[in-house]
Amino acid sequence: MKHFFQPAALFFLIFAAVSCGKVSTLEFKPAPITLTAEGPLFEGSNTAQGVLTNAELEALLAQGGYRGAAIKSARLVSALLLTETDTLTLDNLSEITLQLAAPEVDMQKVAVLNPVPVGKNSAALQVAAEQEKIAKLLQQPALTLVADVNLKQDTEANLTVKCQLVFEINVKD
Amino acid sequence: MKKHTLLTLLALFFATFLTAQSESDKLVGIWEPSNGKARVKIEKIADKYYGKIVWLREPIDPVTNVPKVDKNNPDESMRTVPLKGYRMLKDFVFKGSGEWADGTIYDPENGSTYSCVIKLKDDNTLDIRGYVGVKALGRTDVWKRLEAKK
Repeated sequence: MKHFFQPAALFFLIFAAVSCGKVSTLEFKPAPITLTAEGPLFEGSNTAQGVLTNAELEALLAQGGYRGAAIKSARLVSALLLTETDTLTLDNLSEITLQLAAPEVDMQKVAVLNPVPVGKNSAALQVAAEQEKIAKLLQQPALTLVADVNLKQDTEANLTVKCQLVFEINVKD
Repeated sequence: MKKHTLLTLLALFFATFLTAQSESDKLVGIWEPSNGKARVKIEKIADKYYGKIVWLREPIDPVTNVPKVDKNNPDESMRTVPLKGYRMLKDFVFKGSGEWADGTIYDPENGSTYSCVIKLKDDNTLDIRGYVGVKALGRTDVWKRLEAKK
């Protein structure tokens, strides 16, 4: 009986020590991600995509002395849509919905903007209140940013916009 | 002789790979559910298959008189997402033998998400089965490809 309790007590002590680690909150603001849909594009629903690799997050975690596996939870706190240059506007977009996807994680809807304001070259999206699996998505080698965009009119050109995302990440020491 | 065998094996490998690739992509296209209320474009993103609404028979909400939005979404912050462009099929993985599974289907009419399996009956017909928990307890809808392949 004593032989049973000794390993169990040891396991409990290790578990308690690991789970009592201090949790710190980091802001992760990667460089704006370029989202592109190849033209010609038609009025109505179109999809623009961009990729976020985990290099910037790994650098941030390494700087703080954390490893990727130490991420406890994460959420998107803001998403800003930007035109490619300041002289352009978002006027041909009527609405935009933003999702994150990766091969090993289910797609997550994270933000929406309806309607897109007229005459602006940037606009803040409304971030989803319910967010799941953001930590798991951020730990993938790369994640795809999928923007479903409704266009007001046909265009021969490619659609290119940028998206500035800011995440709040809880990491365990 | 060895070189010849190696080349034959390589050719066989690539032929098998390309056949599997083209079979999995048979799901890609524009499809119409049996009620004819919408058209859904299925595309491949990051090795999985997703479907979004690209056309609605009645795009305007008769109550608000503006384009329909996802007003039944359980997450209130996402109720302004437009139904045109809405991703109602998510995360399908090709399983072989004309079947895509592990995905979900969203019903905007009640804001519910169901597990879902898709079967290709023929090049222009899909069986879309939504279910909760057990596959046997579900409902199947037949979708037709918009531009029929000959």
